[in-house]
Amino acid sequence: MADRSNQACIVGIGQTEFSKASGRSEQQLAAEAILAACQDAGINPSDINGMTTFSLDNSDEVDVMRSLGAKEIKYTTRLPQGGAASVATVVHAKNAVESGLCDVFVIWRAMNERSQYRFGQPHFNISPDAHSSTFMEWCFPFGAQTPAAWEALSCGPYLHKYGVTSEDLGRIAVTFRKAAATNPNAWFYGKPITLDDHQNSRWIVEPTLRLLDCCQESDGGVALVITRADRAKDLKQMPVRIMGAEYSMLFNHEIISDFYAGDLIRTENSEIVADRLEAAAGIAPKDTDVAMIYDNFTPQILRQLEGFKYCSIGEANDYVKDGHLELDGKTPLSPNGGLMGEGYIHGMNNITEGVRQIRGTAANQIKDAKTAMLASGVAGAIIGA
Amino acid sequence: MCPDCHSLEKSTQTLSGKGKVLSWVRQVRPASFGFKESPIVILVELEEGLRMVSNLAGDEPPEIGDAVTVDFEKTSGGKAVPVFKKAGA
Repeated sequence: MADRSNQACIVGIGQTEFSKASGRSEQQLAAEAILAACQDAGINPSDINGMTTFSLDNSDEVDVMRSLGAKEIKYTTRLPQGGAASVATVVHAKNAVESGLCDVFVIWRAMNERSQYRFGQPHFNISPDAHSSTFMEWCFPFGAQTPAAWEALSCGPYLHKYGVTSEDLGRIAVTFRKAAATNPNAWFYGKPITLDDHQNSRWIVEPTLRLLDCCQESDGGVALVITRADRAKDLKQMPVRIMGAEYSMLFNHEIISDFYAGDLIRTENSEIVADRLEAAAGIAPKDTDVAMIYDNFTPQILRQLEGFKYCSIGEANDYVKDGHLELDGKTPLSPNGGLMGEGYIHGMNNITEGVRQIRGTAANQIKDAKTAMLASGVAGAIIGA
Repeated sequence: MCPDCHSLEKSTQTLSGKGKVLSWVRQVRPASFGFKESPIVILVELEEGLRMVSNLAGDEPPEIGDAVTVDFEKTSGGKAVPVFKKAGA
């Protein structure tokens, strides 16, 4: 555990609006979000000296520096594995500032994944050399060509073993949309759904995923600023401490197409991350006040509830049925409405919501929230006041 | 490269062609690109322990755990790809 004065803190969050057609470049969305995060923190963007984004992000480091006026970057990296990278960015930010390598570290993700391209549709321009092309080659020729198809193939054995029905998954979607309906920043603000709406929504991938089991495709940008506690105390916002941030990628495991190793029931990487987080943060994920769990598709909530040890293996469906994920339950799930309800900026808007919950400034504020769990499969972080 | 001994030597082994279905899906929206109709995609575990993604012949979905055997389907380029059919079919 880092010394309290040395501990990494999230001191700024920024975002653009979340839409279906931003009307401007991804590069601009990135710059706008980073500027907003710096202004939120009260930090001059010229002080940025470390940064990370996703390997899938199309904006450019040089141009980010040019836009923001960052003078020198001492550490920059890009993270693999799609949305699983979202919470992994926090791992890098924490280590970069706590090691002393960087003072002001920026995380960003910007995408026009609805208006400029369709993130959830097949992409044909995959190089055979890198960028997760192997799994594409193994799936694409047989007609499994979308994230929804890979997810459904991966979750099939779990859902079958525990008898999880489409209606069970629908209950999760209803929960997200209920929260989004009262979040003015959510795309689906004022638009809750019923279980019937879910059951009547069209199939995306048989026999598992209906339209309302899937996250959105959104345009927008999100950014965060991280610095050490000693500097954070002089800034505009209440510092949100990164109490623990952990990552685990295991041999022969893929991300969304994770079905070549393991029993296809447990998510061992999440279990490892949960144990390390508890040791680092001094609190287990299940005992935190808010659960920001990556929701690309509804079955992921069940698997991560078990992976991050909110409940035992095979019990997640009952955990949901018992109402624990409601905003007044013991595991309030994504009060912003998550990636299904608020917007899909590749998971990053769930992290900023975690920060707002600790600050006490969220649209759907959880009473007395002191800690929040951020989860994206291979990565997890616990943040707190 | 072999993850155990790091050898770069390659060899081929004949497999039984027998396996069982661990999972299945069919893409509805969008339909699978390159097919007249979206095929049934299966995750197969071969008797030898390897897992692979493939197709199940026909349009009748399998049950998880169903036994399948390999079949080879010609591609437009004159090659063949391994697909599966229900055992005994």
